[in-house]
Amino acid sequence: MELTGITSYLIISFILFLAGLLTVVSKRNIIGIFMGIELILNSAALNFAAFSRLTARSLEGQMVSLFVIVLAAAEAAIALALLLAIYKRYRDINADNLTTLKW
Amino acid sequence: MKSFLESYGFLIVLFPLLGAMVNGLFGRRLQAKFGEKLIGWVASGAILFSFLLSVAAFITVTREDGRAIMNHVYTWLEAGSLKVEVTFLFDPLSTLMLLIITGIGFLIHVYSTAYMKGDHGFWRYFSYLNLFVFSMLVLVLGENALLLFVGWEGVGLCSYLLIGFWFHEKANTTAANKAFIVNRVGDFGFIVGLFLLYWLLSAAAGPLAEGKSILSFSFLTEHAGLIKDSTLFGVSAVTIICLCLFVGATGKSAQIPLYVWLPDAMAGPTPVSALIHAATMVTAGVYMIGRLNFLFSMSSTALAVIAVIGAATALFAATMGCLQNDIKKVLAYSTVSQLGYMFLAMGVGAFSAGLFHVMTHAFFKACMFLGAGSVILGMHHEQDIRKMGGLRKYMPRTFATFGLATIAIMGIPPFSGFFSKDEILWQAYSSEHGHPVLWLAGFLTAGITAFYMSRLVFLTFFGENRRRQAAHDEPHVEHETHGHHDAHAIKESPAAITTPLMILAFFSITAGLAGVPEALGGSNRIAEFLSPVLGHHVPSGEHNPLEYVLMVASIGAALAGVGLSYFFYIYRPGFPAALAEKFKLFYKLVYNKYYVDEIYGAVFVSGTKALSKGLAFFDKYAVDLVVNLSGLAVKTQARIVGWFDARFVDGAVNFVADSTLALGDNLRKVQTGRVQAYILVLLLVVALGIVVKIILV
Amino acid sequence: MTLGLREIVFISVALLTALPCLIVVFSRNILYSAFALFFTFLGTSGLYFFLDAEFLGITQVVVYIGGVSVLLLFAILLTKNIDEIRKTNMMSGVRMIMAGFGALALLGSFGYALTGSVWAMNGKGEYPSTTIKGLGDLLLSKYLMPFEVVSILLLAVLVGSLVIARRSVK
Repeated sequence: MELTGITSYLIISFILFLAGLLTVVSKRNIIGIFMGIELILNSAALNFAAFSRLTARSLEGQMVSLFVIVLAAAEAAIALALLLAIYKRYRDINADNLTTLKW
Repeated sequence: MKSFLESYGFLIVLFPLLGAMVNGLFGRRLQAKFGEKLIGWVASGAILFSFLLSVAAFITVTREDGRAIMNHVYTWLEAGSLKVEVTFLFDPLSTLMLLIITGIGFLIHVYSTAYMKGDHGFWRYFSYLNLFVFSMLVLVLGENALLLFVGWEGVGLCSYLLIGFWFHEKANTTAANKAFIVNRVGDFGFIVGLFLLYWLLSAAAGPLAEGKSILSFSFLTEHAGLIKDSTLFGVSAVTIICLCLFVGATGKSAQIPLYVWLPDAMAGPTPVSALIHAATMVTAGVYMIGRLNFLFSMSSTALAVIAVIGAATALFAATMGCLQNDIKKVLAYSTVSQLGYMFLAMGVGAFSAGLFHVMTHAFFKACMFLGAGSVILGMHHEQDIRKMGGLRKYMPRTFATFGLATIAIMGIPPFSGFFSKDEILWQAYSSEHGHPVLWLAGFLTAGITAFYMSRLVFLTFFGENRRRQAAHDEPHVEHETHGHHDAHAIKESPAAITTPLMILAFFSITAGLAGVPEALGGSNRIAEFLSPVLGHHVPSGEHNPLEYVLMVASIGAALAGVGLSYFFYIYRPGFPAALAEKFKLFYKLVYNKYYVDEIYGAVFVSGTKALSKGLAFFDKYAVDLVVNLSGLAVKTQARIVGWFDARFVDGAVNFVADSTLALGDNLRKVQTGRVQAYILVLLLVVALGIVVKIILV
Repeated sequence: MTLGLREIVFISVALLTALPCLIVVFSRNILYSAFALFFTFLGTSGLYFFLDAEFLGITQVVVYIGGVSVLLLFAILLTKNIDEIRKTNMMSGVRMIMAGFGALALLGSFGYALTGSVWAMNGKGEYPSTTIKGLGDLLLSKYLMPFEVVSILLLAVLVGSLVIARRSVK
């Protein structure tokens, strides 16, 4: 197996993905959850880029990665704006306590 | 004339009916506007018309040598094999009855105009009376048994209406009910007899009866012999039929055991008693047997029964008549007794003798009843003979006619009663169905008849007027209330009353000429006249000397009776009372009519009431119990089903609803509101899905 | 496997990417997590350079590190007391375990997929040495529509975040 082959990139991106997943599921702090989301997005972008370079040999994969990055940034802006709004209202950013949508 | 009868004979029947309708529908107004006279004219006129036509019919039939003339009016019923026509039959028997009915009927109508004067229901009375004559004419003129029965029922109805004419008195209505109900019992027998006759004859005749009216007399006379040998329940069918028909006759003609209504029927106006219960209706039974003589001749058993009952009734009723104190009741029992004679005659096969006695009895009995009516009027509605007496001074015409009629009934020659009664007695002795015992009964009855009839005459017309005597002994109290009319004056009745009396008395004397037997030199014309219907009368060449002996014997019995009565009531007036004291029990028994009414009341009336009470009880507690129980069962079942439904069915439905709610309740807890939980679930499911997919592939 | 310089650098960059992830997951201190994230981004950028996607790498650094991470830090510091910073990023143990199971499952399936499949090499096209020009061309020709949409999206985000975060109108 070639070290810089596609397989290693996939492994790396998978690790990133799992980490991000675990973070999203288990963290109590909203910002923590958000960090997880960023990790997941990152892994996806990395995956696209890897495939574009190593398998498809075209630029379109990078295109997608670019868009992912842009969207991730936009989403970050919105998410943190929401966070600030919530913080202003509830003065608490523990996800377990924000249960108004509960049954 | 014959063709006239054939086309218009029904007019005889129609006129009384029209009279009844006019008086019935418009009588009240007519009486109010024009007075009683008009009513009387209408009614009597109708009967007069019928009488004149009857005379014409009689003459025509005589000229035809007794062949029947039929007037077909219309076909009444035609249902399957049953065919009934409305046809009127004019033959010797029916025209004879016609003359009696319309003739005596007319006289009684005239009499009634005077008797019923001032009565509030004058118009009603005449309407009923006309209706009665109509029914009786239908009975007599009917060409078939069903039409006869129509008339039969009709006269029963009119009898009821007229007995209860003064219906404001309860006693009168009770008597009317009694008459009708007892009659009905007899009619039941009659109907059963008719049914049996029709059934058996149509079965026996088979194709012969095709399209013909089975119950018409012409068919019956021709083919009745077909059922001569049929049996029903092992007994000769003819006997059963005849006995059933005879039961009807006992009801209508007041024989044992259904005679009890006739004495009570005296509650009606006296002319009614004269017409219906002496001259006409009560003879319907005799007429019926005469009409169906061929049928009765086929069963000697039935004839024997008839004869025995006739004789027994004659004797029985005569004894009861001896002790009655109401003038009309005496005559009533006398009627029952004389009817017994007629049935005795029919029972021994002497049909023409029986009908001869019908004729003579009609004359003298009607005369006597009308005379009694005259007496009652004269005595200002007093009917107890113990309070009468010496009326021959005050009411000579009444006395004369009554006396003559009495002599006739006693059977003293040459009055009519002698010939008819004697013929019966001779036939009772000598005819092939006869028996000396029957003769003996008739003989004794003759003696007793003479006794009580002369008793009646003596007590009523002879001696001193006992009421006057009683009145003299007491001070006058209510003089002023009577106004100009002296309450104690007894005077002769008006001409409208006495004239019919005289006419009837005349015929009581002379009617005997119609049936003078050969033994005495006559030709027994009536028997000959009726022979086309009643069977041939064979004139026997030689005369049994016994006949003369018996004749003399009966005259002797009559005279003995008169003598005894004279002794009791004129010679030694106190004797009867003393005798009554000595034989108190016997006296009481006879005086109370052997308690027959009481026995009937206890057995039949109370029995029926008790039965109905018992049945009502049964219905209430047994039948209703069953019904209520079943109702209860249904209710209980409904309750069980309801419980079941509420518990299980509803339970199932509720369970579904409740479980849905519970499921919902529990499932909503999934909505924790925490996104991470959702993501977790999502992750797990996806992972699971992928793993499963990989494994499966 | 040759272990030349390239490979060694590659492995170190990979480690630089992967290890801070674990810190992000398991750290209780949110600042530690944030900084670890920073390093992950850095590593990812390095990997991009290895993939000859220099524009993407630069963009990664500028946008993610310079934008997102800074924003994250701002948010952290705005919303949390510095004193208790040590206990700010707690985890739910239960959920972690359950997610662990899921992760394991995915790991298994990933391993299976990886070993069982051969990646098709269909790249016949020339891979340019500098990608920026190619990306620019693609952006304005084939991917024009997404480009425009994204610009509108960014506008919406801009306005939206301002709306969401401002003080409520009195």
